[in-house]
Amino acid sequence: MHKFDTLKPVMVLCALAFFLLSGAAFAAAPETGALNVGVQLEPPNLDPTSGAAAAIDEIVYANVFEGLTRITEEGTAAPALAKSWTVLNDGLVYEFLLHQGIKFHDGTAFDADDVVFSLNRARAPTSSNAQRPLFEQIKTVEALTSHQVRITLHKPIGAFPVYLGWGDAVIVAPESVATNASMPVGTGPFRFQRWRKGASITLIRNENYWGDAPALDEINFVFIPDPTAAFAALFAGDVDGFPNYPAPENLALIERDPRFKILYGTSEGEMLVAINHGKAPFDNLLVRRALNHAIDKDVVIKAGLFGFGTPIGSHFPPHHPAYVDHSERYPYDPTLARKLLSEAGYPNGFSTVLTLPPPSYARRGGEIIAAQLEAVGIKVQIRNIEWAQWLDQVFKNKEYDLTIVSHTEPLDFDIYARDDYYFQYNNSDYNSLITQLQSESDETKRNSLLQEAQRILAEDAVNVFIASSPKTAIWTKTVSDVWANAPLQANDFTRTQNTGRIAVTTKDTTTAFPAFSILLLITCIAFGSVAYFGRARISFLASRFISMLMTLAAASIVIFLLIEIAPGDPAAFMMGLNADPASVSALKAELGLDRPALFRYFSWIGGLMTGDFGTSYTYRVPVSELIAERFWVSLPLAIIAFSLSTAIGIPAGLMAAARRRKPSGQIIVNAAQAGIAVPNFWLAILLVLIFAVTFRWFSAGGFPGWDVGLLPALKALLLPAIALAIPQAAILTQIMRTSMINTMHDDYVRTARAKGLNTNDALRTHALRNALIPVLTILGLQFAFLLAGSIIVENVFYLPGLGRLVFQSIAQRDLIVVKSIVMTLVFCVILVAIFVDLAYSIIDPRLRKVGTS
Amino acid sequence: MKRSFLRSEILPLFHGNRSLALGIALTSLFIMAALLSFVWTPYDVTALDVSTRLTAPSTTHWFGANHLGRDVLSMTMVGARISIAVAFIAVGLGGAIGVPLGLLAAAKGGLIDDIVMRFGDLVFAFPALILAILITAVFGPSATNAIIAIGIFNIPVFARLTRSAALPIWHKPFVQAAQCAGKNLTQISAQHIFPNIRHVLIVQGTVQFALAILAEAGLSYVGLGAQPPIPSWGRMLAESQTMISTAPWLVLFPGVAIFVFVLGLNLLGDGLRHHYDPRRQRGF
Amino acid sequence: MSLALNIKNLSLTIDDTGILKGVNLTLEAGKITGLAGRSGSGKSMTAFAAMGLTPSRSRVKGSILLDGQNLLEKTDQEMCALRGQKIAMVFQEPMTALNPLHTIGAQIAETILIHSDATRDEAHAKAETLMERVGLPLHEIAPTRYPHELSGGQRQRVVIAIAIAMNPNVLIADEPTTALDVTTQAQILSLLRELTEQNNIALLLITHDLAVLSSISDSIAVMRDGCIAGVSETKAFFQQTHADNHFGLLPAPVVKPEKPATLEKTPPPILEASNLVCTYIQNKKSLFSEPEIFRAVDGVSLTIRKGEHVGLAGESGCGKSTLARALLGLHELASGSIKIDGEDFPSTTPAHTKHIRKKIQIVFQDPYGSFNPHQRVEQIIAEPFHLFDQPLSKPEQKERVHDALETVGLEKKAAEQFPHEFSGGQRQRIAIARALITEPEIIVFDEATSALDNISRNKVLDLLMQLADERSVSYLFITHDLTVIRDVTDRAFIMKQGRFVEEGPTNQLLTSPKHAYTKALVEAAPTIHWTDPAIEAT
Repeated sequence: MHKFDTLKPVMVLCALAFFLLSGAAFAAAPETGALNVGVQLEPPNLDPTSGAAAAIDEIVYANVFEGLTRITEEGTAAPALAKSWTVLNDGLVYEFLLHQGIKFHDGTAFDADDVVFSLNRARAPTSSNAQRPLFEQIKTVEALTSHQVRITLHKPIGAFPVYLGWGDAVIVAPESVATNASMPVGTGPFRFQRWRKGASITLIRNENYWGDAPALDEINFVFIPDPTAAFAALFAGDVDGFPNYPAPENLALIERDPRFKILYGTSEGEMLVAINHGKAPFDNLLVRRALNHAIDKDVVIKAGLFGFGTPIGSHFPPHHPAYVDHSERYPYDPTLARKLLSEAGYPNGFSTVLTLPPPSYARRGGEIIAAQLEAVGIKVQIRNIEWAQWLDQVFKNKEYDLTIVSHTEPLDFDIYARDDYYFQYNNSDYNSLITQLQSESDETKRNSLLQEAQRILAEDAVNVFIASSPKTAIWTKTVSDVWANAPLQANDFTRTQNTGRIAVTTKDTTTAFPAFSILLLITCIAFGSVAYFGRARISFLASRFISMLMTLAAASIVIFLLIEIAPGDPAAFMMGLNADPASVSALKAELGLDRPALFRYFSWIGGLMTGDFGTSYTYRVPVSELIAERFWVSLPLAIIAFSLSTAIGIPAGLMAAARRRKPSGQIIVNAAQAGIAVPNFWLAILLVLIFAVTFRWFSAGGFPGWDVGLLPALKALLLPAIALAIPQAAILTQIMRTSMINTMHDDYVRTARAKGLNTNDALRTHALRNALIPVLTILGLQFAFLLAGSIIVENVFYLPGLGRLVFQSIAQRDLIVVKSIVMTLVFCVILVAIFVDLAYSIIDPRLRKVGTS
Repeated sequence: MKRSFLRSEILPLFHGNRSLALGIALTSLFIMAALLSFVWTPYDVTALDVSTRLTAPSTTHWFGANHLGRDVLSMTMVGARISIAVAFIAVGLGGAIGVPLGLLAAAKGGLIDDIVMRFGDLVFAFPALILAILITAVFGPSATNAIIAIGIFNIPVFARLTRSAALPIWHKPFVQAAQCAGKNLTQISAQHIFPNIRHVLIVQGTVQFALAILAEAGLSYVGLGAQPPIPSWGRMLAESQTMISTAPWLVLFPGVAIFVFVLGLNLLGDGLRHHYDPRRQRGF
Repeated sequence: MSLALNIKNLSLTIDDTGILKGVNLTLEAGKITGLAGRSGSGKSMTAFAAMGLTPSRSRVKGSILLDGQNLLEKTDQEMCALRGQKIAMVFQEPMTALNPLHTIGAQIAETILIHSDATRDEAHAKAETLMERVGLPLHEIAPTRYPHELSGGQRQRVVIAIAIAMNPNVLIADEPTTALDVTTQAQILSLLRELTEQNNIALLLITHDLAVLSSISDSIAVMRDGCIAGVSETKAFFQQTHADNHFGLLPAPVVKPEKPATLEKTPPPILEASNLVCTYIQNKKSLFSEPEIFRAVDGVSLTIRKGEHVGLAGESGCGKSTLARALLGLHELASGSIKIDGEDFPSTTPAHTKHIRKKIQIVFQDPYGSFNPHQRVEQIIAEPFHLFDQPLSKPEQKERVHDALETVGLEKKAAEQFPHEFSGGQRQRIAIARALITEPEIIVFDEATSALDNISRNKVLDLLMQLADERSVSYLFITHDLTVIRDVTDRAFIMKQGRFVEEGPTNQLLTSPKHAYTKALVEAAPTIHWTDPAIEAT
């Protein structure tokens, strides 16, 4: 009868797990033409008009949103929503003729009023458009008719039609503008369908598209920031390609593989060592030139970019007609560099800090550059930081000496004329040149001005211009008609075809089941079962409950304080690289970040109590929804890993105890010792190498979601679960063994033998349950560990789980998400501890209510 | 006693205790390598050599060379230094704060005991590396912050262990005898309690040391540990992961180093536990 | 008279070490055979051999005949059918012999289920009758109770019920009462006697305590070094007074020095305790209720005069150890006061408290736990020097330690050794040396001899008497062992549930106890019945 008592809670849990797992929808209806695209960065939101993150354009530009004009692959402006345009009054007035009969994805009609609305919104003082200074050049926007718009400028802007083709200038509808951040509604050939945070965004064909119908039915953008994971995903066939492949070191291998083709195109990316002119000694031209001579750009390109880069000598892309090659202006010459340094008054060099953002070109290039600078006597300290910190410290506050970054905005040479830009470069000649350029529309004259600009930047050695990194796209051979070049950081898939993958049309169901109610449910079950069994010592459980609440409160304070002193302004991060400070503070106010800390703490706690976790800064969706989504990856992963670990560890431990004097027992012990010592992330890497890359039995990572079916989802979780489970199983084996050996010598086992039970029965009926009591604590710890501690393994497999969300949110300074997740995890850990206590009181009668004392 | 120290103290250690012998051998191998790296490594770990990029293991580069042409053996040796330093200081920090706290909690009981225990509850409520990640993310990634992050975790580990090991000693008659001899709590803790729980702490110390090595590797794998150009095993893994198919040795050697070192420490811990096992020692 | 079990030439080795060397022993149905011997003599191993439960590394030779079958030739499977059925065993430690996770009813029923075709319900019904049979009335102890809800004696009754469930021919009881109080011991022994007679069981009663055997066994076998040194009828055994010192099992009686009792009429009091109350805080029943306060010592007063030897007796849990700790200032007083040599203890200043502390010292029960295993004997004995206002010089300390060691009959070189290098009796001498080093006025002995065998115990007591003769130190013996009280004290207190129930001169207290509890204690204490001066033991 006691056996059943023990089993009951386990059965309840199993039933619950089964219910949850099978509750996921099954759907699979094959169609045609889908494209799975790997992209490195997940966009913070999907509204290109209110954030500058290039990651937004990569998804929605030309696919979902369209502007009056569009940028062609060559970088010129082509008609889009505007059929044609005329330039009047020497470039001060533009009149656009619009296409008629266009509808937004939500069915509302597109007309001139939408254009007026969009442009006025972009130039309004409250606008959070990252290119607001550009739109402020617009004096008026008028709808002449429903399909004619007149734009009057303050002064002529030469490339105005090109600017109108940028993502920041896409046309949005007033009806849907408020929700564009999470549910973009545009006029483009694809409709937004679903955003699985941290994992993917799906676009599907717009059946009512006004122009030529797109060839693809569906595009899935899969976020794979890690170069290794990118490689693995490609080889595992999870994605059809990457418009920007982040791991150049693998290109040689990919080139040999008949499945893939590599497209080397031009891009607007200029990788450079940015120099802070506002700080000594970098205000000294000689020092800057010394830096330029000290760095061997060829080596940086070879080892840092794995040879994929074209040397440049100025801030200009080589594919542009106005390009002049200045790359030999400062040849590698350490002797000359030392000489220049002495001339500048630094014969013994100086100390400096090289701040590096996360991309591999910066981290790898940084190590090489640091070594080269050391060679000429400059002491370099490397500081690796996250993007958010980079934006805050380097870009916004200009707290840096040197940094490495790639500027990807097209034709962004005007940044050197900005007053407040982080280079702090100031040259009036250059500034007037740029002013001239902005009002010049004659192509030849423009080109000569551009050439002069390049010369000035090179002569002034403003930065160390390393290379124009090519856009290296990798596609499977079934994919055709994709952009090779990247005039914009965007992926125009309007014409793209893919014969290799069929679309799996999925139901549009976001499982937005608030995590809080799940936890609440679990707590209820826990205390419900206590009530049911009715024999646990109430005082025991009550004191545990009180201490759980106290721990939660203390933990919340610790988390809040830690987060409060974290550097990095989330608003600045969200606004992106070229954001206007005024827009940043507007956003800050909108997010409530300007309130006092105490107020924010209590509103956070109050929110937690009511299940309102607030809204994510970056994703602009309720945090509870975000957590719930991730919870359905982390929880099943934890359950699978936990089941594996238990299924391996307990029998192995018992076997090792039973055969402790035999070689087979010793082998188990040795295997367990080895298992404990394996770092799980290393194991994960090895598993990927063996099972995903070599044998291709499993996908190398990623998570398809529960709605594609139970089996594919479970399959995706299996390798990470194994990587997690093996070290845990090893620990469990040892504990089980020790506990069993201790118990099997207990007196009551001898009593059982004296009753006439044989050894096995005596151990089974008497020793086992007693031996399980200490193991229970370990099981509780392990489940808590698996639920949240899988952060690193989730990174290896790019699983959109809770652990990874924490890491991503920290990287993105999405503090409210960090706070709430850590709090949720703490809650889970404590909950598991309560469960263990509960299980104790069920298994161990000594903890139950006593009849008489 | 001193002249026969080797015979009476050291040699019996290994009698029938293979774990201990192997543990000491493996652990000292890594400590030696780390110490050696201060004076000598096969190659300069910071020097770049583009000509030897991604060289496979050979007689010139035993462990091969990485994408910057750096010698993996040299980096592994220096990496051992960082791993050991971070883990050692972190565990030392945890012990230096945790052991006195635990002794105090056991000696005084009451409120102080409660505070120490609740502090442990608080720290243990943060799953695995989350707290370490929070700390390093907030204060910036560096070896020092990794030490603090790992060290904080070790404080309650040692405090609780010390407390639970000390409590039964407090009930031993010799402690009451010491009280009858007028010794105060501090004197008793130092003279009677600590010497009798020392071996438990040493065993736990090796276990925590192994865990700290793993934690350090994990932190530097996600970029929150020691910063470049200082090589660390975790970061070597992270950096070379992308080259796993072209240069698998880059992933192999740092991983094997972590594995073998942790295994050595665990064996050492097992061996010590076996050595200190009261069933092996009459009268103790 | 029928032979139930016949052990012939039984020998047993573990890892080539001989444990049993040709044991010959017979058990008769309906009779109790005592098996006595000092620890390590092979008593328990003989029992385990009979049960077929010897350690896996051991090798057994000889024969053990039960119903004409040699048990040593049986496979384990065959033995399983016999264990619990034909031959059963009761173990020493009732606290751990039962599985804490199973109800007592289920544990008793299990034996029945193993050996019969009874249904679960039948087995449980049988278990209930067995509980009644061993003196666990169902209305008091439900079979659904768990072991931790029972007292030691009750648990031992459950273990006995398990053993007799199938009405075995042979029952082996290995030190069944050692862990129990005197009164409980008497009850369990009489239960065993009764069962033996009524069920016609052959009982092998293993014990180190001859007094237990003298009251209930029919014959006694003495074991020494893995052999049976001799067997005789119980009566005959105790009549052959001192013939061969009963195989070294009986000690020489303690010599109590003649006291010039009338020399001084009323020596000055050295220790005065009045109305002492010591409390413990129990676990809270619920979160909000007041913590329950347990009064371990509940209003106790006593006075000890210079040179007096006072005894304090009571069963475990009566509060006597708490009282000892309180007298030494190791347990805070809830109320009441202690005066040592006329001064309040503890005093208002720590320095003065230290000064008074010199006058009272203690010797503990546990000779293993009494010393820090990491200290040498010299450090251990010298520790109370800490109480001196002026620290002693190193050589002076050493000299005094050497003196103290010689006083208690140990050699000087013992100072250099570690405590684990000594035997139990020697350790208690070291403990006495430590207590003597400050030349205290009074020494408290908290069960100081109960962990020693009879012979060592008497030697230690002899030493104490001799020391008392040399210096005028007062003793307070706190013990559950009335023998100690009888042997060495002048005056005694009987303690029950935190209070003194009776006090008076020792002789009077033991020969004509007035309080019912004292009577029960005196009656329950097993006594060796013979003509010589009575020697009692636990």
